[in-house]
Amino acid sequence: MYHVILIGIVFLILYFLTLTASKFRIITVRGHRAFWNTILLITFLTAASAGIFLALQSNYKWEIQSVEKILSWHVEAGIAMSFTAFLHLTWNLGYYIRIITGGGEKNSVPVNYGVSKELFFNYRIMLLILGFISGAVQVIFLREILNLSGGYEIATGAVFAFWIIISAFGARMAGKSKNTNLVSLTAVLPLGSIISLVIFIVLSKVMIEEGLTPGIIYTLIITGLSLIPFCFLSGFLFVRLSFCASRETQLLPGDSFALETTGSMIAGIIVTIVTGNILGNFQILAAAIILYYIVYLIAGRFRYYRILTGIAALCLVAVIIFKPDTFVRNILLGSVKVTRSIDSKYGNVAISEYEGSGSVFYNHRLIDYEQDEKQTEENIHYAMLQSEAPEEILIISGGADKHIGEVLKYPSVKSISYLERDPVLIACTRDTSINYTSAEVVFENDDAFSYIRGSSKKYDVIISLLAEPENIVTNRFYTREYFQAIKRIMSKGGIFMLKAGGSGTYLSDEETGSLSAIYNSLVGVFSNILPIKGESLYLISSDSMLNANIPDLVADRGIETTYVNSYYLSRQIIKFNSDQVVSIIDSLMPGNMLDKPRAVFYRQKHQLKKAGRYRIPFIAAICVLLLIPFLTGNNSSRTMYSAALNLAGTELLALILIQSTAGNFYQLAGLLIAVVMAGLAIGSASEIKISPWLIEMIPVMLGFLAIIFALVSPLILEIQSGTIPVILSLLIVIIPAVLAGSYYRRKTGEELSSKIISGIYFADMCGAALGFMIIAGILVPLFGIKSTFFILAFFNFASYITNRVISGIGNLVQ
Amino acid sequence: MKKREFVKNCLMGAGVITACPALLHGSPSRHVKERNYRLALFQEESAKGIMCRICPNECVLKEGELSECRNRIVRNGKLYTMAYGNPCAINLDPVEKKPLYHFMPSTITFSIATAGCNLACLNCQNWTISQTSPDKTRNSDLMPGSVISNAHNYQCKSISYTYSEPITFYEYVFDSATLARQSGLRNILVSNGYINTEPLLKLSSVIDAANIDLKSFNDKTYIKLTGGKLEPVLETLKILKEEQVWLEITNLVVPEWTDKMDEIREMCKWLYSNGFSDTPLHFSRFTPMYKLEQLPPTPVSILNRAWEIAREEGINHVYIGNVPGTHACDTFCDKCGEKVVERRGYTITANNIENGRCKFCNSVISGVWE
Repeated sequence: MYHVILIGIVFLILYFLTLTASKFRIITVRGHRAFWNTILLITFLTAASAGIFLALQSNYKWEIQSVEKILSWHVEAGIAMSFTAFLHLTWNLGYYIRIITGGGEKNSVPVNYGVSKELFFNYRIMLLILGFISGAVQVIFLREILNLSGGYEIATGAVFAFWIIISAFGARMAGKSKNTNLVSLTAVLPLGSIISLVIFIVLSKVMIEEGLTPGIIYTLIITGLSLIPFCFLSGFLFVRLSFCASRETQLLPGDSFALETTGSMIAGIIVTIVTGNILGNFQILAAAIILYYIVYLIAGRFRYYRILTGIAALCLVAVIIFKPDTFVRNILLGSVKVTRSIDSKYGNVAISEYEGSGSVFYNHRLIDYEQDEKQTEENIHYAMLQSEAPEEILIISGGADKHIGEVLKYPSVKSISYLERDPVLIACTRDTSINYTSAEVVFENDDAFSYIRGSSKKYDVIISLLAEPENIVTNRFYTREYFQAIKRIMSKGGIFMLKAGGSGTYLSDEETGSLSAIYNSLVGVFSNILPIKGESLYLISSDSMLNANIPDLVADRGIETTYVNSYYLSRQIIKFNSDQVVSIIDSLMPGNMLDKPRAVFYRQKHQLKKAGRYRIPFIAAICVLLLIPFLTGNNSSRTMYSAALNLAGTELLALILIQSTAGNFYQLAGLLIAVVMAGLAIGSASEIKISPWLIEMIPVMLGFLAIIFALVSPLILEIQSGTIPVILSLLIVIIPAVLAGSYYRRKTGEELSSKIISGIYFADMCGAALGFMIIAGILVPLFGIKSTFFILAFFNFASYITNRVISGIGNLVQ
Repeated sequence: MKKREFVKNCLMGAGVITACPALLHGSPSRHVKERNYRLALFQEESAKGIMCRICPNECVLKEGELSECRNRIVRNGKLYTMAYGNPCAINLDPVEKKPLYHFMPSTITFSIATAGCNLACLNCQNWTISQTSPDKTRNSDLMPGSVISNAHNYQCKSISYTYSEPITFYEYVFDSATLARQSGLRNILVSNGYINTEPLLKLSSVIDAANIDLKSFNDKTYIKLTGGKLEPVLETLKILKEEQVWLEITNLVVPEWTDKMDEIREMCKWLYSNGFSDTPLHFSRFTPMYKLEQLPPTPVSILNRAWEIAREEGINHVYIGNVPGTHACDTFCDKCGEKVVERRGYTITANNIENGRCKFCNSVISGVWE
């Protein structure tokens, strides 16, 4: 199958982007044409040479290996060439018409780039709102892209890396650009976000089959193409604004950076506040765009700006009244009819139906649906049947009414606590007209870790139906620390059950790795563990004896069930499967811990396997791309790069520390990001004179700080109280942020050149992207928090030494 | 920085990064032992290489190349199967779970599978073994003789070649099934039916029952969803019937993909007109799996509608699978309409079949009942 539509769309989008860039003088018209002429040449040469090979092969019956591949290249390049030729024709149409009509050749007129009109700008406000719109769009897009891809860390890191690479290239191009119409460019920036959104939606529908979760490669292709308009423009604009502001108003690039960062911080805080049943994702995006224009109109004092501002304000009201989210969500989740879309503090909840049957999607993943007796009964009865007369029951997540209904089949039950972090999920899975009378039913809104650490109640049965450990957030519910906290609130001989992943006929190495890490963590806490293979793999743990004879247990207790009974289940098969699971456990695998989240590493590997064989080279290629500024930059870029990587890494490690101790990751994540931004803003705006020698020593300072954090991190994890670890974690990030900001200010202030600003900004972004990607996806899961801090320290020292060596060689040569 | 330095630095960086896959690939690779290689059946030399004639993919492979199903390889100019005596999945299942409702009901079947599949279904529930090769899975050492002895030890009445795709471990299936026949065990093939005629005819001589996945009745959907074509599967159904292998058909109803009622009706019409009216047809419920995670499960109302259509089109034994508590799991006599087998789950709660005949009207109820 040849990719006619895909190539067509990609080429048209690219053409549109280079054309727009040339219109706005980001690149020259000549550059735009040179780019497409080069594409035309490459596609022509590929198609032609492949064609010659095929002709020779056909004529002389040559045995050319993989002739199908050559044919494929021939055709695909031909398709690409056809599209390019068509585009070529559009801009030279007049020329061909003149040849046909004999009209003669028109004298070429030099392009007039004009004089910059940006003097009237209030640069400070523009930088602030640039930061604001970038911050808001980034949060919204990141959420949607993660919904598309599944949201695990390596994908998150890769998506974020892509985001930054495009922005960085925008910044780099700005360094080469001399004349830019900033008035027009700042006016169209928000439109870039709308174009990005449209491209995202169109590509999601064209490239991905209905219901399909794309692999990481497709996710990145969609991400890359859809983010180009906005990210490129925002990176470009920042550097141009920063340069023009420093040239015309003596605003130092460091101050510009501080302003932009402050704008992002404000956006982050506002988006965090309004997300949570107040505004939907796409409402926020629309509102941010309109707010941008309101500020832009007022700051620019354009003609009729009062009227235009009034119209924009009316649009804002309209967006708030007429919610666009359900409409957009319906397009994105095309396979079902979304009747309601709610963006809670924790994720998107889409209530939907398909042919009259209701289902609930959480971040585009199915979490609840009608008529799922099989899983509902398994979720409850395997654990409940192990307890003689259970009275106090705790159910953690998984859906309210349906599970509570199953628990209430046990007459001994006196009280049920249903714990769910997201109140929207409780509302979606609960029928408020049901009045539970046979037992006390309490609904708790809290993070499971926080609740368990703070609870003084004892439970006979605790059933954890939380999401699998596919990211660091959910991993903590599968750690030894969590199991120890669970045991503390269990009555003597109590039962604890969790779902430990898939239960296919064969567990892959990755699934086995994850299972072994979880199982071995349980072994250290409970005396007996019984695996039961059902729709999921259930691990039942207790200090009492456990019984795999489920059919007899359910019959003896007289519980009425549809699926968990002797009609479907056989003692012999359950026993066979349980023994098989135990036999594949790797007893040497270290347990899953808060500071060494091994389970998540294996789960992510398992997910990545779905992406096919090119996943690893693809991720490696991104890492190499991100390393380029470090390898090719000057000393300043290299130091900025390592400072940014260090900061991104420290930020992630602090996040993990917070979620491991305080438990409340989502709410405190916003605070942490605000602290990082504030640190950057302080550092980049600070006018304190620092000697150049001290500035060059920043990597060394960062290295020593990382060593201190490595030594302190185990102590933080041991503190059970929530407040102190949070304060310590916030302190951990603020110092590297201030140092990174200071370095940016000093280096960009040394010489006023947009090339220098863009080079350092580019290095900053690439370093941050690589930091997010490798630390979250590889280093922490493999080596743990403490060792990762040491690796960061090593990287900082290496950066310093490399700079010294290169400087030394430079001096010798001179 | 000079260009040469730049290239050098990039190469160094690339070297560091390419070391990362080793970290990600942490687990040791599995090596298929020499004894797990067997000369593959149905291979042909062609000008382009060795052609595997087992399935319609008809891979043409050069030295060292792996087939599309990932368990056939060319070594020293010959095609070998790498999946002989090394199953990665061994389980005990009720025969009703295959699903087979008219074949030795209420018995346990010894189920085995090796890695590999000749299709690439987006919703594969066994993708961890079907989309990989035997050298990447943990395998047991279980030669055909041991398969038989294990099945006897667990008091199984049959052996099922299932989960991934038995067509791809054809030689292992054939030898095991031959031995199983000799020792009084029955053989069950749970397959996608994507096989060429000649291998199928040979295999039919040792197979007692088959459940074939008829995944869609639309060729375009078939290609998009599975990577295969519809026609060879229909041909397989006809051959199995002609060869008197007991046959049941499963149709997984996937929302948005295979739940169009006109296609289901067309499929049922084809089945009826080709003599499959007595062949049990199972409409199975889809739940989000593998790459198809952003779909809802099949609404039961759709399955019920499919059931009605199949009955309207003259299919006598229609069942709904993966829905506990469904009414559509009982068997009715197609002559007198009485309930001849009442099921609950995988258990028969009332059996009104005697010597393969309806107790009420003495009509033959198609199936292998003992």
